[in-house]
Amino acid sequence: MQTNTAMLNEILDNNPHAVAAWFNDPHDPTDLTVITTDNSEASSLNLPLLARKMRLRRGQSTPINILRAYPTSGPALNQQQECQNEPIKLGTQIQPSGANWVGTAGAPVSFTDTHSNRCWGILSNWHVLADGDERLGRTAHQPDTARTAIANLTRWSSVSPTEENLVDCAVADSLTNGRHTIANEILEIGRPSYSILNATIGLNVKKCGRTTGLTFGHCIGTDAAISVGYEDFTARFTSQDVFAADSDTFSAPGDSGSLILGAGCNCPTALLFAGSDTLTIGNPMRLVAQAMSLIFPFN
Amino acid sequence: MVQIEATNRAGKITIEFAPSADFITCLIPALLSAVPAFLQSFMTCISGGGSGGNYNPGDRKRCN
Repeated sequence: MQTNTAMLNEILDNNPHAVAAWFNDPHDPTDLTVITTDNSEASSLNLPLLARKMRLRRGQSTPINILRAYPTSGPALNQQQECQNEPIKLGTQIQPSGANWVGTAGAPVSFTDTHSNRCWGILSNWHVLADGDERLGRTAHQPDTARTAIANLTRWSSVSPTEENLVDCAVADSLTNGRHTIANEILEIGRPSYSILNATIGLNVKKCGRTTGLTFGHCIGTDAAISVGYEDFTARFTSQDVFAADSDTFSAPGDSGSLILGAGCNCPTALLFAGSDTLTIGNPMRLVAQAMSLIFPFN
Repeated sequence: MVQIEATNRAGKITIEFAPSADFITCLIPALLSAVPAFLQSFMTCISGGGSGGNYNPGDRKRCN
């Protein structure tokens, strides 16, 4: 018997225009959503035998890509892009040394480094903090490299172009000359809860990111298989959460690294890392916490 | 007051101690973590850690 994940992977493997697939109800294995980048008929999809008997919902979006931005010099467009004195609230723009992109320093976290030392720092994406120069101690600057470093790369989970991925995440230690540069707070949101809330379809969420600031949305899919465009390769992710905006847009390039929280409780739910014109994709926070050895509470 | 009982060749011993606020703060989330991660999570938390020591937010000016 084929597992749900294997079936979703097979759908993406056999349909070049399919970028996301998930089951709409964990208790109903016959209700399936497939998102494609073309508007072809459902009957034209190349589906596994079992899936052909299912109730198929079709959706359309642009390709799903990582959401880092390549800004040119100019004034900050919102408070998320402005320089902050210490302690720095997160949900703010960050740029690693040697990079021509920016992303979002998403959340204050406590974690253990590879020597089991406890650290306090920043949670963001691998493709924001580490990509191109995966090196312990690589500096991260707020809002960009024209300002002093506020954290040093400590742990990361690289994205594989050939294997199935679960997370795109990294953490950076904010200890600088004996003091931590960051606040235990996110701009426009406040202090995140210590309790992880797993996404469920219909869950109302919010996030604060470098480009679109504070936005609100809701979960439309869980345990999804996604094809995500990086600059040099396409990566397959499984077990992902899918979100849509309540109105207008939920995310845009530059918001990568933002923390997605349950709107009612400020509970960490997912780590934003990719999106399209209509969809936002997040790594489930339970998987990020496991990969980065996060410790709760923060202090 | 917390009481721990243990038995060795010398017989049963009882240790009583009053837990600190840190003990409780660290024990609850550690108990909720996966079993293999329990000891590392608890000991790291209760010891206050390594390179960072404790969370110590700065107040330095860096924007002007």
